[in-house]
Amino acid sequence: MNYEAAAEFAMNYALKKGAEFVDVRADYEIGNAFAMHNGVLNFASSSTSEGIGVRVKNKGWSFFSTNKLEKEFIKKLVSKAINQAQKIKLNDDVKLSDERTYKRTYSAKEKIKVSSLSPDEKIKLLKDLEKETKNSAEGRTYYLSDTQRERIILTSEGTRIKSYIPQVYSYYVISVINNSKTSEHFLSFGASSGYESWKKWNLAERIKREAGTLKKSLKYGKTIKPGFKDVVVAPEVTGIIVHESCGHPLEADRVLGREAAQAGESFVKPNMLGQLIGGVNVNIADDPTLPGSFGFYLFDDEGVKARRKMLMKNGRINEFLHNRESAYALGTKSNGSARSTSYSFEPIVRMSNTFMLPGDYKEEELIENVKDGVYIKSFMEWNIDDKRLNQKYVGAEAYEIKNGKLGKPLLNPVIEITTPQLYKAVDAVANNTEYFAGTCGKGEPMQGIPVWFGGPSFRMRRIFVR
Amino acid sequence: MEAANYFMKELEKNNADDIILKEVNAKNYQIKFYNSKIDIVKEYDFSKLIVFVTKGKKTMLTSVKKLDKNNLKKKAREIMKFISMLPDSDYYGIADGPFKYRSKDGLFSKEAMNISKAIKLCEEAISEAMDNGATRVAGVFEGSESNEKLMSNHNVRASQKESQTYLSIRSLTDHKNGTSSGHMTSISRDLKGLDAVNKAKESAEISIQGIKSKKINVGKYDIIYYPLASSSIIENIGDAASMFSVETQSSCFINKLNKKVGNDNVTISDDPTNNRNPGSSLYDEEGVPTRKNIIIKEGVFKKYLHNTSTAKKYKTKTTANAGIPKPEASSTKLHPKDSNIEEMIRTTKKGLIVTNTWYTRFQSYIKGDFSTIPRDTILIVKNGSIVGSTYGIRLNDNLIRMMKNIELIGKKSKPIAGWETERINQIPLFKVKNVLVTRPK
Repeated sequence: MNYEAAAEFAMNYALKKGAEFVDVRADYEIGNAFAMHNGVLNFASSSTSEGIGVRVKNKGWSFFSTNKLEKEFIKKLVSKAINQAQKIKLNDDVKLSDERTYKRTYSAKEKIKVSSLSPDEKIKLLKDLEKETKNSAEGRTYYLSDTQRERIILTSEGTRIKSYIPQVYSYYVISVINNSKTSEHFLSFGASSGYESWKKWNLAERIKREAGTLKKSLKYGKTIKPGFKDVVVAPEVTGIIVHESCGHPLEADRVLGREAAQAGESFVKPNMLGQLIGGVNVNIADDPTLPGSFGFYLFDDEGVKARRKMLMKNGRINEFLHNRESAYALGTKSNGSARSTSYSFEPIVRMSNTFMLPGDYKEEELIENVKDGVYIKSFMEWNIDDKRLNQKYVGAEAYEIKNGKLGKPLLNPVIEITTPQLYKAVDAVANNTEYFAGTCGKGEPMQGIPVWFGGPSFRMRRIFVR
Repeated sequence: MEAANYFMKELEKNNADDIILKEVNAKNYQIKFYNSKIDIVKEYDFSKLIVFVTKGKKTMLTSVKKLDKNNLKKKAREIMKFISMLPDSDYYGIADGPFKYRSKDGLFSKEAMNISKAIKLCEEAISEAMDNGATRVAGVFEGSESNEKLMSNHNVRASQKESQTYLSIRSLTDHKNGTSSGHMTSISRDLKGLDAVNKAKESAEISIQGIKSKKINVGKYDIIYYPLASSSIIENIGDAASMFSVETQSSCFINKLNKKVGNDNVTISDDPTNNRNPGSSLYDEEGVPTRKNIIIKEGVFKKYLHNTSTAKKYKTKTTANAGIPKPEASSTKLHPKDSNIEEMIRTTKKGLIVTNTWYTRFQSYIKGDFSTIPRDTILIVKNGSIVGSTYGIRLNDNLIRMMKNIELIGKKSKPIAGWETERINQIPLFKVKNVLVTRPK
């Protein structure tokens, strides 16, 4: 059987065996990946995967996944799952919210089809990138991958969603050396599209510019005198900030404790909806429906219709990210945030494309109004605690701001701050939105999932920098 | 191996040069629990054939799922077509067999896959944690078995069947000032070896020690690391020792051969040779019998980790760390010494005991600068005694500086796994001097 027939078969057999509820995710995915370091190809892979993941309720809950799609084998696994679910002590907390059912087919737009390029044409993209940038940085690692995923989602309530999503992803790591001092930078880009996105990323120009500025920073950069300063961050830094300190703490499964032993809990509690934790000009959304985005989908992996979620509105906590389990637990409806990396994992609450909404200012205007401050263009090291409260961002490319103008480069300025301190300090947001790609990790077994994060530059007044 | 044998012949018919095939059949289960109740039981059942093929210096890694002859015939042609389009890699060959392997004793226990028993143990562990001070318990209880066969057209034939069990349990104690927590993990080849109930109790005991926590000043502290807290840091030493990391300029050991990188009491090896330890293996990804490789001996960097290809390139011998196509560490081991927690506390004037960390991130892989966030209870040590607990801090260090500042190392090195670590490492308690501790202002 292929994945689609196997999904239908598993659904029907589980219902026949008396399951109270069943949902199935089944995939067929083709993937290619290539990596090059300083012009030498050091990795090439091509793979296909096909399988089903089935969740059943029969008093308790159980889940199984397999890539062995023979009827008799699936029958065995379904029966085992149903029996297993019955053995677990009933946990009344675990129920799913009622949701509307859909029957839909959709796909992401793909102008230059992923399948239309041969392996050598894809490698040529990396070779051309290497050719253009080889004199800019001492260390250059370039990675390019693509996937073409067909997925079907079935629920015993009648939902049937079929999708085709092609994706292209690339990252680079550059390292530069000056007088035995080194500096490194990593950045990634991704899209749910065909290869038309590659050109848009304009990686060669970005890498050359970055390598040049990192070298200048090593040569002329100075360490910062610690103190309270105004800080302007560029879209790359905005992206990581909103993902880590707004998206993650508003994942309802964390709020409810389901991730306590893995990715952690949240400083946000259920009764904090509506609470002011940021400046009134802070608006942050998660939106999987953005065409071409790396976190694109129109229906989530429980078959719930996707929509934009305003996580923070005018500085107030506005909405959690929900799947059907967390929505039921908090007495609301799912907002379509259930995702599983592949058929083999259960769907859990995830971000998609998380970004700060743009404001009215130009980036230059944010800087013009700063007397003594810091501009952080890019970062390398960052981390945040498991409640998403205490975070650190270390600048890779950064400059001092003196009397409204950018001054000397700064060597690795550090922001170490709590989430409310950070968002409350925001007084102005620019209009220059940019998105970056990432693979967000959560769950156990670990599920790395494609996301975008980004937004505009924004300014924080009087925060501590060292 | 019938499918693998057939596929090998098909690839050779299509003029492949070097071929490695690894067939894996794996089953595993996970019991997930939170808020002290089992949420769901998950089972996974998979098979795959992992394929490494070369043509001249062109290399490719792929996998095949459908193992019928028609599909294998078609796949062999597709792979060779794909590979013909690739440029040359920096590739120098795979290992020539045959090899003799050590006994398989200890790798497998049938009991690991007894889910009914695992559910019961899991419920007992949750109760034990609740009885010892937890108000909520979360975690996973897992078991797996894997049956694999590896062959190459360089006379390699190898196989192993192994099992693994894993418990991750975090006790959370809600109190008027917030929530404290303690986290323990355990990994074994069987259910008994997990010592699940005792681990649950320990997690609760750690949690209640963190109830009355207070802020501390930023500055330099001596840090006593629990194994769970240091595993995600120490495994970076294994990663940095891989010749691949050196070549791609993501290692702090570039040009460090025979140079001092640690204190005299620091010996670190890559050691996957104890069958009873999950994470051990009879052979590497080329089928070369695994061995213990000393990376750092008494503070001196002694060895990079190689597969056959990088070894040939640098005119040395493989360390049995394939990794296809790149050499990889398997299980990083900090060798135990003769200290213990009592001595570590007694000799500390101003320090902290860190029971868990997470989100270790590097500012520079070449320099080794990193920071990490202590998670769960952090105990304050003052003038040789534990005087309370703290929260909300960050440790800022450098891999080499850390190894140079390791002052005391515990007696027991045990396999440790966790959500933050990629591999199963073997790490005792240890104490590091003068670590910069920061926190938000």
